[in-house]
Amino acid sequence: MTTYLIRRLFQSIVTLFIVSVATFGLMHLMPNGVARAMLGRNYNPQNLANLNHKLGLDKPLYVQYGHWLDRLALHFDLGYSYQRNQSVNDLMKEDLAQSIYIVGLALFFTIVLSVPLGVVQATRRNTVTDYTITTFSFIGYAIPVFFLGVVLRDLFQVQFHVIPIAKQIDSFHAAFSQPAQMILPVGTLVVSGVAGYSRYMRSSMLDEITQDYVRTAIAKGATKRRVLYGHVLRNAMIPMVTLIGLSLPTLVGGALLVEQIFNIQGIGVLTIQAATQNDFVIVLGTTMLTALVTVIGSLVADISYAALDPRVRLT
Amino acid sequence: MAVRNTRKFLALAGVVAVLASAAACGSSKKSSSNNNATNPVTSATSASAPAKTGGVAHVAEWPAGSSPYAIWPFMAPDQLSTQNAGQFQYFFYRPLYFVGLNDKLAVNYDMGPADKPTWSSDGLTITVPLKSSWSWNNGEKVTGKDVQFWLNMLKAESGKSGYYSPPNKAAGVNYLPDNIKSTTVSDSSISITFDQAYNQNYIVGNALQTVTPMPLAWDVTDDKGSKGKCAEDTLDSPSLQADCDAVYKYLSAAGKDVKSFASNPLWKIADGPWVLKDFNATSGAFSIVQNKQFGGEHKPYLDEVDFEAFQSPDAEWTVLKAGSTGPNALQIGVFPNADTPQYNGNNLQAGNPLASAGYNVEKGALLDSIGYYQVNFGSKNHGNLFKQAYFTKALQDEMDQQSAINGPYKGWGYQTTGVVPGYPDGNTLSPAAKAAAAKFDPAEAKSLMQAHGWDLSTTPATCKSPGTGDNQCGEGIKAGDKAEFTLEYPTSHPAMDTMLASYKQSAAGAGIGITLSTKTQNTLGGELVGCSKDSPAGCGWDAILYGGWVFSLQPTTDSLLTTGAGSNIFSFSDPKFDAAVAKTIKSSDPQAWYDYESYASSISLPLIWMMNQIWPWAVASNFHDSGQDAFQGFEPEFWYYTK
Repeated sequence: MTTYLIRRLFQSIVTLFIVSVATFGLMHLMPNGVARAMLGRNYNPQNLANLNHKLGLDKPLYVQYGHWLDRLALHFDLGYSYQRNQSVNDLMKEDLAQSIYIVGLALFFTIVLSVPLGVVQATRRNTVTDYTITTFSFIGYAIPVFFLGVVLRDLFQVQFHVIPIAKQIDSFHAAFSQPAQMILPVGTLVVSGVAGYSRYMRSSMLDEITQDYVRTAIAKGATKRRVLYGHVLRNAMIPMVTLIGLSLPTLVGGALLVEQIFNIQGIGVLTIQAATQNDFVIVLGTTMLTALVTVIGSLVADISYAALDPRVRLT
Repeated sequence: MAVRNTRKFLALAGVVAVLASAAACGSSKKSSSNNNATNPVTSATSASAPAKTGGVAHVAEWPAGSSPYAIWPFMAPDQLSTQNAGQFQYFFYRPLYFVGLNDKLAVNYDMGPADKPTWSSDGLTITVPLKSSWSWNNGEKVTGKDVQFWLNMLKAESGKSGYYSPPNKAAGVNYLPDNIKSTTVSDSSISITFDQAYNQNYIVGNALQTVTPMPLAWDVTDDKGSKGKCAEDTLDSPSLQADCDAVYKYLSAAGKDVKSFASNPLWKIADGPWVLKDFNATSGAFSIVQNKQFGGEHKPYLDEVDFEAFQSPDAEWTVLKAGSTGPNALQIGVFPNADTPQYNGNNLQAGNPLASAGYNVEKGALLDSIGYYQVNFGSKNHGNLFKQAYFTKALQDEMDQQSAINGPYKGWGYQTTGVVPGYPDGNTLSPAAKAAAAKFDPAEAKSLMQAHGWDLSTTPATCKSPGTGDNQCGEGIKAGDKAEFTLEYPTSHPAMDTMLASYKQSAAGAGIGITLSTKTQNTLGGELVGCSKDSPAGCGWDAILYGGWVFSLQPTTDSLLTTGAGSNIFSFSDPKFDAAVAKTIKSSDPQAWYDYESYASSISLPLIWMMNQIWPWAVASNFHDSGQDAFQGFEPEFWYYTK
């Protein structure tokens, strides 16, 4: 186990390094440099030279990367956005909390709803209940998030005024203190999430139901309920752990479409705005954070898998 | 360039400003239900309802997704934006002179701290009187020393200022502060003596309207308030650089610290009609309240204006659709393109999709601008083609601006006819310029191509008659060369897609093959550099639609088109044109403008004129929103709820 962890840790560091080099390089491929785009109409050669100097962009790329890596490794300093005049750490801190809150709530409700739905479908396979849930799952899965969000928003906020219009959700406090405002964005994410997760759960349950140990348990006189919830469900949940682990990056990646539709200043919007404004320092920061959480999520999923399933050995 | 800088950046008010969009907050010209106007630039006005004093207004930041990020008005080049200036800083700190209120291209002396200036008989010295009523809210008067403070800072920190431009050798002019020989300061005025005689309107409307007096309380070097010496110096003080460096270092850092905009005592010292109440560093939303000590002519009606942040036009549209009442309802917002009603000059409210939500459609202000796409005379592939006057004329002939306005832009626009904007009112157009106004004439385009030796049997046409004769393809064009180029434009603009697809199709009729390519606005901005040995990338682009040019009061193109000018990235050079431009800056004689316009309309410029967009605004039916300028700035002191 220890050897495995050390190896995975090393792999993670290499992965993060490759991601950082690739992102850093890509962001600097912009024609004529980032500073030219920042100047827009205010470009002239003198202004460009001054701004390049101010941003440190007149130094060789490897030097710039070295400085960035140095600050990151020693101080966990993701840099400074000259376009927003704020440190990337501060920007991410401000935007991350509400994104994690919204996506986390959505993930929670997705799991809470999709597990029982999957179980019901598996235990009532090929019945009206199964077909009905399957149909709705397909519909939920097929509807694009942006479309669903817009429809829900227009129905409940504009047409029927069920949920009042609020100012921009720009902090965790704003998100936490206005639970009504969270219903639609979370609901939008939950609908598409449940559609996928419940199908996955159904499939996993069906796999387990046909296993020999189920037949053995029944033969030994275990009740159906005990077999189902004491054995089948626990084993069927194991693949779900992987799925949940791999979903962790969405917590910090935000939900761009939902954030845009419901006027939420979250990490997804921050990233996309930075990308379109060529604010490469922010893009680099959010990319690195997402990569880090992806690596951690993957690791957690693997370890959890091994912990939950005695047949799996991490070596 | 500095003298015009304050306005040119306004063309970049975001991606949506690509066509030199005209937008200020609402309309000064209220629509009338019974006027017969069919053109947005001539729609009539209606009487305003009685004003109610007090109240809080909620207004969407414009464009959605943008917000201010610099509060010190002495901005760096990368800070110059309409969000920072006309939609933020001017609320608190007013430039000496204010241009363009209510669609009128004139100096509005009521809007700034300076009265009408006087000139010496030799035309070299201007005396700018400062109004006795105009003071900072810390009790100090706005004095000549406050103006000197700005000029000193500009002199010392020219390389870091967005308001500075190096001397223009081609036009033979210097800009602030290089063109100042001396200044004389008093409590009630400042006199400035220039190095040569200039067009007096140009000095006031282009140069001095960029100068913002700074309170002496800003002449500090640290948070403890240690006194600086920048304001005490003269332009030729030996210690000027050192004195201003210390102040600049402190103020420039404080001026971009968005988290302390509302809390820093420095920025609470204001001479404008408003002071900043709070600023949300995360979203960029902010609130302003009345400056109770404001001594200017136009005192605010409202107690407070909240500028609300939106992630996207769609998010803003949702709030508008939800209605104009309620605690978070907007009083002013903008129609997204997709939901803009068709312009109807006879009844602006016809087809208003927000009528039931309690909003009126209001026409945005016109912009003192020219819309165009730019061609690169230095393009390694097609530069020689663009240098041919007949070819750029043909490109212009194929541009059907009115159809674009009527079609994808739903009537909300007006044409660019030449190098001097015809709208808003105020610019003088020469008879020659009027005669040469850009028009849609595909037949002429075709005949021009045929008359200059192009085989139009295929598209793109091929040159069959190389040479420099009148009936030949022109210098640098070889037999078999194709009449083709790539036109790049910003992505995600459906109306623009339609307009340019139509243009491409039309141009093909004259044998001109245009390859359309979309990129993000910033990517296009990154490509826009001039062609030179040091900058070979600047030789790679053919034509780019990036945005128009917004002028100051005097619409001269000294920094856009003169040889070697900072923004002349087109490799365009014409000594006669340079001389004509120089006259517009140095002479107050109207003939200088006529000569300039006439010559400009007779040559091949690297700009193909396109329409200017007007933005329709949604204004709550119980709200009056007049008061905006031709540069996308907001003047909320004119806003009020109606009784």
